Amino acid sequence: MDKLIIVGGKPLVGDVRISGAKNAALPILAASLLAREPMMIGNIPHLRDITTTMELLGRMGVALTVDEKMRVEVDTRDLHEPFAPYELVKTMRASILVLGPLLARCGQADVSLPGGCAIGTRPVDLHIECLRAMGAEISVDSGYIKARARRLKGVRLVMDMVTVTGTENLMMAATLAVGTTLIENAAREPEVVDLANCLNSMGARISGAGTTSIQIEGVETLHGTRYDVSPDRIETGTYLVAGAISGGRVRVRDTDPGQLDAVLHKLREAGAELDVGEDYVALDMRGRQPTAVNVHTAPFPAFPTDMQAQFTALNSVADGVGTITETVFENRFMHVQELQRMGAKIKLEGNTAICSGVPRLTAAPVMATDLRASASLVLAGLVAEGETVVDRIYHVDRGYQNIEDKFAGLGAQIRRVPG
Amino acid sequence: MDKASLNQADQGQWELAGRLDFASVVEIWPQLQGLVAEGGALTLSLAGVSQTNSAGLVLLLEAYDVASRSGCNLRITELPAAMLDLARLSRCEGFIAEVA
Repeated sequence: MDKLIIVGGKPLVGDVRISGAKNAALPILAASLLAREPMMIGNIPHLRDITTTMELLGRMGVALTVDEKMRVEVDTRDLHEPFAPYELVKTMRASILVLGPLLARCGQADVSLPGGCAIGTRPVDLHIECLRAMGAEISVDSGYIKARARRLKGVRLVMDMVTVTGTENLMMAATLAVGTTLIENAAREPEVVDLANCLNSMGARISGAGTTSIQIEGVETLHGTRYDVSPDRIETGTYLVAGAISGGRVRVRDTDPGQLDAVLHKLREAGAELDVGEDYVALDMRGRQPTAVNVHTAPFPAFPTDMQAQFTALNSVADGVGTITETVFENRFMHVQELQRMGAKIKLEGNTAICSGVPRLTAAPVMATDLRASASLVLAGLVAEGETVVDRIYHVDRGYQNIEDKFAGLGAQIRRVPG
Repeated sequence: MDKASLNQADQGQWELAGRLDFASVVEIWPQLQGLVAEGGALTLSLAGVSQTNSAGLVLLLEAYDVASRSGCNLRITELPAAMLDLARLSRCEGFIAEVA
């Protein structure tokens, strides 16, 4: 397993380009299954989950090619196998996103249940319930969701919990349904809006994306399109926090600051001077130590849970005491124990981490436990005294393209050691 | 449309030209496969390739694979910049170093 070796203590200075958002690219790749013509998807991040999705589509008979700018051309005209096998689905829970498009396009879909997600537990259960409400016959047999429908029909769907993947799956399924579908209590995340924009450019009729009520008027077919995936807002936020935590001056470009209001607000509170342009954010700490901030995670447009770990790292070296309250996921403070090993003073009380800032962290061997936790350890390593070794970085590789190159471009002393 | 073609320039020297994409590599492959399967030495120039993507890269990787098995000394020249970028992106730099 690869490791990252980081020698901390240097303020980060420079420009960094933000990649396309994986969480937008995955549903958009799934949406390509709905098109009867080739489509070109640009700004795709080069990440393992993307190549897994491409392999998944390829096994269905979809022709995919990639160019040197990571534009993916998808041609589904020979799609003949509406089947998502366990061996691929188990490695990526987002594979469930092919269920809605396959069912809408082919009238059938056999999709493995994601690993570790037994039927009866949410949110896969919600996808199934809503597709049944749209007229699908669905059984779960030998670990596979087997869905059949001659043509789905538009209905009013009231989601009993807010789910991004569920909203996306149903929105895609509804594009080819007979009549109008209304998704109530829909997720409002920018990735849902990006998918709706892409589907509309394919000929779908979707309105209300970005609100809690999305209306989809079904159409007969969808055509090909050229579409660029939105920039990754969490990657954007992570590099901005890197600038803030190191007392540096960082400009993130090719991004969409409009998706980051809550994060930018907290960075200002932490003492950062921000210059926000149409497609960039420049952060300058003027060498100052950040001020501790209180963060409360919630669904978009509130503060994203995927930025919680990075702000925990920021508070660890901030001036004062800051609290981080996690309301979206349980058990999402696995990074705290590792940060404590680096000298952070953090106390956990239920779903709240109380961070008393210390002047500096000390390098230590640490272990990544999930994607965002890994990012927080890299950030901590950037400001720790000495050489930090972050192990199990396959987690970080799932969400951050070329992380060591991007940080090195900002002046960080960081290198990858193959395992 | 810039159709792909594979033409002989000289003894043991061939030129691949045009657009290498999903459709054209399927047409080119039988001819290229036949050439590398013969063994001997073969130089393949890509100077005339106008556009390419991963399909073009896969064509070369397949040709290299057949060449290795048939004892053909395959050398690829004039690789387009886009192909080099794609090879780096796909972590196939080793392959490029072998054949270029």
